[in-house]
Amino acid sequence: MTLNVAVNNLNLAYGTYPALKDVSFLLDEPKIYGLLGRNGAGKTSLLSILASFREQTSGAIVIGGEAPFENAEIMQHVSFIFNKDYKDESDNVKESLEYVGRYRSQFDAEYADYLVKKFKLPLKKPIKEFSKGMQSALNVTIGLASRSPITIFDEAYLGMDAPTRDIFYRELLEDQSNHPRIIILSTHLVSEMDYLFDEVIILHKGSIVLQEDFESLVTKGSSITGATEIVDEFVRPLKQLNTQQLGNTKSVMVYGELSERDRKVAQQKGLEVGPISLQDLFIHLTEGDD
Amino acid sequence: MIKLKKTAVFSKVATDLFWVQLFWALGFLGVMFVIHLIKIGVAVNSNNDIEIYFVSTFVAANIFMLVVGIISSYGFLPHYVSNGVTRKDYFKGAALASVGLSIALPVITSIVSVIELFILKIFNITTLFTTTFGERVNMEDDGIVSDIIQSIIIAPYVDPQSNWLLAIFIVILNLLTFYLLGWLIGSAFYRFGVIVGLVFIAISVVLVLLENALLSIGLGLTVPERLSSYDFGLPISIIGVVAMITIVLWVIRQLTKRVAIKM
Repeated sequence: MTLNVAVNNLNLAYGTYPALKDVSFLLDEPKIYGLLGRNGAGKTSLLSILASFREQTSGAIVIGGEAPFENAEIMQHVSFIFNKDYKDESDNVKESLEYVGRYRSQFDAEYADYLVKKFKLPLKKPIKEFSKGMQSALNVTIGLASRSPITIFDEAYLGMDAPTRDIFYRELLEDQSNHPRIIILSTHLVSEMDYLFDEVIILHKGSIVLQEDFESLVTKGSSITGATEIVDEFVRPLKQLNTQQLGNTKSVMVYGELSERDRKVAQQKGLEVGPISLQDLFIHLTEGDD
Repeated sequence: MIKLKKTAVFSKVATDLFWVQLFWALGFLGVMFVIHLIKIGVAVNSNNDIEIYFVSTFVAANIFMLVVGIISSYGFLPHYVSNGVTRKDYFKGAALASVGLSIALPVITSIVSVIELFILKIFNITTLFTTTFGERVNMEDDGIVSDIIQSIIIAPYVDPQSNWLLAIFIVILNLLTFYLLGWLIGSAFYRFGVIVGLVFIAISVVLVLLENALLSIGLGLTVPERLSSYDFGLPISIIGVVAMITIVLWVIRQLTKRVAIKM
């Protein structure tokens, strides 16, 4: 089952502070969507509206053709995995998974057990005694095994060590290919997670600055390096993101697809055209004026 | 779209919440039972009267229900919404569970009391039990403070040894009222924060006094001087209390209907 998500001119204000400003996007394929944004960009606010944790101030959100808020048919298919506070949770992993299984119709208990083993989580220990990383691993287990058509991981990796994060990423890709669904990963670990994304949405100060297919996004950004004057002339018509100067050598990051002709021209002028990473793009699209 | 197997979600919530809270209640009743046994031991040795178990859990059970009600709004609501349950289904489920819990508690304490009376009869020491609990202290200062204290400490009460069915029913109303007021206070704090929460505590105190007055008048118990001119029967009291409970439930629903879940 695929439920699409259509967000239109969504606004959210906390008192007078605008947390989300005219956010619009469409998620209509079972893919992994990377939601990137700096601290306070509004990622969690946006995701909590998708998950019906709160209502928007204005604008529309439609999931599978219906408004999700207080809509049982939709809410049961949306899983929101965030850094839950477990300090009072005396249940253990086994009880906690059984509980989730009662409310999530597509929950796969066997797969959950498999993940629990993979993450080496103790079954009988109270969850409040877990380390942060173990609690995150439990959250991720619940998120993956619920197999909800819309699954949201909001910085779900917090506290996990590198090998544990690696297990998470592998399982995510594997399970997504076996059971395609809309997965939204919000993160600022961009360089580590970029290969997971099929599509990228960048949120900055409450507004969407970019939504783009990962592949085309990375080909859109490039770095042009060479002698200062030649580089300057070449990049003049392009959208420039960042400039680095070392002696007479200049390197400019540009955003916008280069045509074959542009590339040839660059080559003829002795300029070096290199790729830039999503991390670079992210940093330069969301930097400045603060 | 795949539809969830049509077991209504709210009935699942009700069942789950009932068992979780009953489990807590059993812990509470267990502690109260140990205290009760100690009291029996002391009473036997000193030839004093004590109350049966049903009566001795009566006061603390109200406080227990108040606390569980408060916890309910903070703990369970976020839990259910994060499992894809609507606020409405949570509300219906939690309300049903609170009724179930209010019934289960006095039923359990009644059964324990019957067993207790039976065992003590075998040993021929039934005279140990007093039936004077319901008689209220007549405080000199007949002010609002003493009213509040009396309402909470000595809620309207019927001796189970005279009319056990009515006794259980009155206890159910008391427990349910305290649970719902806890839930009301918790929901107000959750939704609006401290100041509005404190206002709701004040409202709850007034409602406890109201419930207390309604039942006391209906049961013909001692009431404060300024209420003594009122006179109506028990059916009116019960209708009044049920109406009050309904209004409290309605307000809780309004408070939680569209509330943002804290993360």
